Formats: sequence, C-alpha cells, structure tokens
Amino acid sequence: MNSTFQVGSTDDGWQKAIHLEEVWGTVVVLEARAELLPINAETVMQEASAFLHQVDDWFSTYRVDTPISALRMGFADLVQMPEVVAQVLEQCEQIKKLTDGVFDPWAVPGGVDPSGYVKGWAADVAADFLVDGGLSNVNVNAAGDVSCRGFQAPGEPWLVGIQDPFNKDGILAMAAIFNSAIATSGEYERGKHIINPSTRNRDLALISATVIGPDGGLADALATALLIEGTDGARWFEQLPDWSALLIDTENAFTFGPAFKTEEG
Amino acid sequence: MKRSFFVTVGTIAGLTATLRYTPNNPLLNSGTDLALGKPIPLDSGSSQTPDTQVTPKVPRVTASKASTPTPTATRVPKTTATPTSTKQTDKPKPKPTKPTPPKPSPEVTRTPTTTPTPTITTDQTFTGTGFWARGYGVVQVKITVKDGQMTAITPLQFPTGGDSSRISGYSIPKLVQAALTNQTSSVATISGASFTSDAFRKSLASAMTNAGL
Repeated sequence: MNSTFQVGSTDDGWQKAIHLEEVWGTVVVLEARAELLPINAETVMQEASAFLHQVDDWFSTYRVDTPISALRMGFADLVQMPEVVAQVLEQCEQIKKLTDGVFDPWAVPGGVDPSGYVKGWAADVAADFLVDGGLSNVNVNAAGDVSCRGFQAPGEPWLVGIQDPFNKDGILAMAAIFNSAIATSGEYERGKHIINPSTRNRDLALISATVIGPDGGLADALATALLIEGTDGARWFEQLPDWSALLIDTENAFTFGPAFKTEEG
Repeated sequence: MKRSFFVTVGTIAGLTATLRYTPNNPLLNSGTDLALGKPIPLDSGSSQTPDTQVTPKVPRVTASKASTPTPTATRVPKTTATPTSTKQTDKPKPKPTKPTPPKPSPEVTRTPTTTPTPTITTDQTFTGTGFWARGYGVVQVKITVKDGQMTAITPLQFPTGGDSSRISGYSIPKLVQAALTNQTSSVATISGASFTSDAFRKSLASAMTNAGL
C-alpha cells in the first residue's frame, strides 16, 4: 500500500492538501483546500483512505477473499453479505430498473459485479467523510469518478476537466461542480471492459459519456449505461431533473440537462 | 557624520527601489488583464501570488498596454533541462509518488522558448515545463501572450508513435480552444482520466506561471 501526502498553497492564498492513495489497482486522489486547513487534515485523509481499502475488502472481484467474490462463486448467499454489500446491490437493482436494464451488474460473465457503481459511490462516501472530518472543500477523484464538496477557491466551485477520449492528454470541456459528482465512462482508458446486456456483446453506442449529478454512485452507473445505449438513453435519463450528461460519439457531442444549458446563443 | 548617514540611507533606498523594480514581476507584465486570468494552482507553496484579490504591491494601471514593459530583455532563458521525471519510462503502474513530477523550482520551470522571440511584436511566448504523461511521453506546451491575454497554445512536445500521434492531431485544437476560452489552467482535477493524465494541465500551468498570467 502506497500513499503520499503533501501540502501547498493556491494562488488565492488558500492552503491545499493532496493525498494520493494506491488502491483498487489505480490511484485515488483526495484533495482538500481551505484558507486554513485543520491540523488533523492528514489524519482525516488517511482515515478516508482506509475506507477505500475497506471498499476493496468488500467489493474486489480480483480477490477471492472478498464477500462479493464469495457471492459470485456461489460460496455465499445474498443474506450472508455484509449490510453495506447488500445495500450497494440493492442500489444497483434500482438503477437497473431506472435505466431499462441497460445498467446490469448481473449480466456480466462470472456473476454479479457492482464495480460500475462502487467507484463513484466510494468517492462520494470518502468526500462526505472528509467533510465530516472538518475539511469542507474537497474533491475525491477515484480514477476518473470525481466527487466535489465546497469550493476550490474562495467563492468558486470546483472546476473539473472532462477527459478528451481521443487524446489522453486533452481536456474536452470543463465543468464547474458544486457539491456534486461527475463521472466519465469510456473504453479509451482501460480497453474493452463493458458488456452490453441486451446484446451480450461489447458494442457501445458512444466513445465517452459524462454524467453530472448529486450522487456519485449513480453518476458512475449512468455514465456506463449511456455509453452503452447512447442518445436513446435520453428516454430515461431526462426523467432525472438535476442530472446532466455530455455524450461523445465518433462525430458529435450531445448534451443533456442543466449543466450544459449556458452555452446557448 | 550626518551627511554620510544620509548618503548611506539614500544609497540603500535607491538600491532597494532598483531591486524592487523587476520587469519580470507578473503584476507588471500582465497589467489589468490579470482579472481575466484565473488563478493557476501551483504545485508547491510558491509565494508568487498574482491574484486580483490580493492587494498588489504595484499600483495597477488601467490600460494594460501602457503598463507592459518589454521583458524580453531581462527574461534570460535558462538552459535547464526538463525534469528528470521524464526519464521514467515503461512503468505500467506508476507509484503514486511518480505522477506528481518533481515540483518545478522557479529555475526549472523557466525552460527556454524554442522560437527565438522576434523583435517588435507584442506577442511573447512562454514555455511550460515538460511533464511525463502516463507511459506515452513528454507533454510540453508553449503559450503566446499578447497584452496580458493568452492568445495561442502550441504543443511543443506531444506523445508520438502508435495511436497517440494520430489522435493528437485531431484533438489538440479542441483542447487548445477549451483552455483559451477559459483563460485558465485551473482545472482542479479531471473526470474520466486516471490521475497521471494531467500532464498537459501541468505544463500549461507552468507556462502561465512563467508568463505571469
């Protein structure tokens, strides 16, 4: 387990602390900013990181010693799952209904895999944990699923770049995120890993899908669902009033929701 | 006795005044247009704070053109190489310490501009430090500043070879547009990318820091 912690300052004279945690086979970034960070900032961030490892202990499908692996392999029943695992699966069930079955952790080979929800959910929980610990302006980036709380500078919402799927080093757009989450799904990053549950193969409608809304886990799941279904997903997505999406296919960009309304004219 | 005292004081005051006037001062360079440039998140606890909220030590002049001295004379490009982090190749899983390249000290960030800055034009170019980008190569950008406004971003080094050179050609204009529209590199983080992919942002931030934006 590797982690680093460093403190610096922003141009606004705010302090910022960044904690990097190697977990889930990636690096999670926890960042806190404030005029004056509390003295226990590092401790709070370490505790939040401990939670991320706890999430791995519950939900890793790469390890055989986790409850989810036991469930997948048929060594345990749903009723034997820890409460948090049962709750996450319950959420996934709800999202499956919401998306007309497009988000379906049960359709993947090898048994149920809630990974498409867990990363964003864990980022949300970690961000809230940091806030409870006295760090009021934070963002948690769990390999691309970002949860933001408070401000990045005095009076300014967090500015989150949206990865350009065609260029690993490019930013497609910037989104101002205030007490919300943003998740981007695409196969440009990790290669083919998503299954279309209706066709059971790997065809996807889009190159990348970004979702912005108040719930990190849901944002993560909806981004994957929209990636699979494309603009047809508007039929269920548009029923969510506070949610926004940016969809990129090989030729076009489509936007939905309040976050992208300002560009008119 | 008294006289030599005044001479001493006068000399010190004059010296101080001379030293305080550095054309490199970002507040001087960018004039009022600072308001347009959003703050750049610095990687380290740099004391440089070219922010409009902070009361500047130098009186602000209303017209930006008038107050812009030509810093080309004083800005001596250092021949420092890009950080050693660029050397770390072929590691599929970077350790968390690696994605944050060594904090560029002021000396290091001031890499030489590759285009020899011509004489009379008001455009100035500033080069950002190259940053290592996730197993692909070094990303380095140059920005052009005119009257305190960023007018162009030119990639100096982008990953080449394989797919990356093909897709770079397509998407750099978009990326440049996004950065120009916002006149900022203050994106705090990136959605849809693993942590190490913010090399562009870092290079842009260092170029903007060099430009005093």
